[in-house]
Amino acid sequence: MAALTDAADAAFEAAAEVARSLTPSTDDRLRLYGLYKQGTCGAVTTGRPYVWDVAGRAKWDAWHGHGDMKRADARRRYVSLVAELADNGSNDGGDAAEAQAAQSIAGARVSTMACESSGGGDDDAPPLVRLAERGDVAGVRAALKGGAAVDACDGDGRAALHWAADCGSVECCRILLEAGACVDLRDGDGLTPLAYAVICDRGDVVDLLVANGADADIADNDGETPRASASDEAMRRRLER
Amino acid sequence: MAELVDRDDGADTPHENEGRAPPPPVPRNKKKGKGKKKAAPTLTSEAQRREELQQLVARMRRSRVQDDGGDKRKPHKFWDTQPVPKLDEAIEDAQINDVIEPNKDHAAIRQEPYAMPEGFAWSDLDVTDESVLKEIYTLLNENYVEDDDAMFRFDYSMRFLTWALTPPGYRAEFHLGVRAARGKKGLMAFITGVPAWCVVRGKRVKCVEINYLCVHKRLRTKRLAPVLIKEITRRVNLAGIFQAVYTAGVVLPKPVASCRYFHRSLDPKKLIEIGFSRLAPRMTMARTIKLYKLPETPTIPGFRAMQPGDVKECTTLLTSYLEKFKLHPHLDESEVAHWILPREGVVDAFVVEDPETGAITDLCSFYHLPSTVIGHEKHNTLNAAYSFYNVATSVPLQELMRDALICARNVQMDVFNALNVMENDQFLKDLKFGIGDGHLQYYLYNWKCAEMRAEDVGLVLL
Repeated sequence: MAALTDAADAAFEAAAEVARSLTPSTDDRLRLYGLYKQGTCGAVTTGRPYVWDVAGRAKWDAWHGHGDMKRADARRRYVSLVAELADNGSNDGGDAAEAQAAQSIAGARVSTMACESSGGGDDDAPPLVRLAERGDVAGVRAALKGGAAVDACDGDGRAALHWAADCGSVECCRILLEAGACVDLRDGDGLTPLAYAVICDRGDVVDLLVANGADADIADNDGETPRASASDEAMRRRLER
Repeated sequence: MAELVDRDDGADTPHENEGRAPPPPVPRNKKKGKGKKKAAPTLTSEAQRREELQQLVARMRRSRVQDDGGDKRKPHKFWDTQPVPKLDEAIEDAQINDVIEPNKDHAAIRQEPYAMPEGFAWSDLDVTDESVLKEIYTLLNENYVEDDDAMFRFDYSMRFLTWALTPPGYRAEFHLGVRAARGKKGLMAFITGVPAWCVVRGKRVKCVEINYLCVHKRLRTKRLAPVLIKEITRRVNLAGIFQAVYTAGVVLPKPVASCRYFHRSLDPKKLIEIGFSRLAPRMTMARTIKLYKLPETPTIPGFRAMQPGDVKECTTLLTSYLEKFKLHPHLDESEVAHWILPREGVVDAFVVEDPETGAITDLCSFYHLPSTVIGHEKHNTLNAAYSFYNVATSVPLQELMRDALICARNVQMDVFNALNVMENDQFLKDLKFGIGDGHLQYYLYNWKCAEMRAEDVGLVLL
């Protein structure tokens, strides 16, 4: 059995190496990504990326699609897929591969950020907070209906309203305020939901919070107020209403 | 009905049934395919499965060797005919530093252009002609280099192209285009060279810097790239130049150095919105924005934009600094004036002038290379600054580059990019650069020398 596991691991590693030299379509790349992540990390544990993070979302979906498939199964499927794509390449994909290679000879290279800055924070945040982080309007509404505490905080003292303001979901903010969320709640850094909206330049969220009586002069732990964080005249004017 | 069934299949096994390739002809593969479809373990004995896996590993290894061995299908068939070191050729002796093929006499060089595939014709491009420049801009803007996920494509501006292609001593015949022979005679492919003196491991070599090889998307299967390379080589040889330097994102025979891109967020919110970078789970946008916040204005006393009167001193400063590196350009005053003096929207350069003596002690520069954000509702353009040449003598390099970041932010750059070349490693971490997913390989054509590290490279191509 051990020999079998070793052979499977070797096949997986070899496949990962081969995959590097492939030039698959975007769909195939997502399939490879989903199986690779499932095979190395198991089921997804993170939340679905924000709606504007198109690539991140597509990747997350590809991974999430495997549910709780066992790592070993995912690895096996990954190996099969790589073999399939490699065969495809030698049969009829050669021209495409050449074309792509030819295109990147002699020139610069477009590069994007490879890894995200580490978030920190805790994983046991109340479900309502996680839903608000993603701007999930239907989820937030359902959770509140189900009796979720509107001001429950995560380990950093942030409630759902902080997260909804941070990601710019006006609709989530409105639902939370209607459910009685505390508009000036300070988190562990002393920041209010209004501070988040101002720092992130979310004008419509700022308007909503101000209309609900948010105070623009509450200092955070560094002594900075939302009013002082306003980056331009337009934002300062929003805070004066 | 059939459609419905297909859709149901797709839902049962996500991603697995779409676009499946026809079964490969090799029996070994067939067996593997069968094993995959009949997932029930009881049908395949452990011994059988082990054998399958072993075969697979062997096959994968073979294909890996093949790739490394230069058969990466047709492109390497081309490179195998060129005077470049083989991919598997280890050159460790630092004494080796010479041409691969000796220079040819003028008469021994092919006099007539290489034949074009039916329907295409060579075209010398005059980049000082606005309408031609516009054609080049459009070809590149629509067809040039994209990132791995096809989200961004370089959008070199026309002013940038003028700058990049007309340095002192440029030669119009090295701006080579391919046009359709009939109809509107549109520009279908492009390659350029600009002459430059390079210093390779202490030896001065007359080179061309080859760049902007671009083939229209519709013609990617026509094998135009090899003939473009051969034709520009012929023209360059006729001008008495036999070496070239170029960079590429891919590994070809054979890199002289492998470098990596790093990125410093200046507008993290926009970068996240366009998918250039990602917000980590549990990380707030507000905290991310605070993390990358910079002072309003540069902080080093005497820090100011470079002016024409600084060219002489900057040339001295830069030439002596670049001596440190194993691959670097040799720039005279006219070239420094061309490459480094600020041009709005193209290149920015700053110096530190000693408040007491008036001497120029430091120099930093970056060029503006935007990318098109492909198919995004809110943002069309990613504004990127690229680190160019930087010399710090009166302050730590990190402090100088911090002011460069501030200046880049103040001209609305979203991100500041730098390769890990020269001494850039000194500031990347502390100034909060994140590693990129892009590698950049440096190549020399018709030159053989030992490979060098990224920090030995003192040359930035555009």
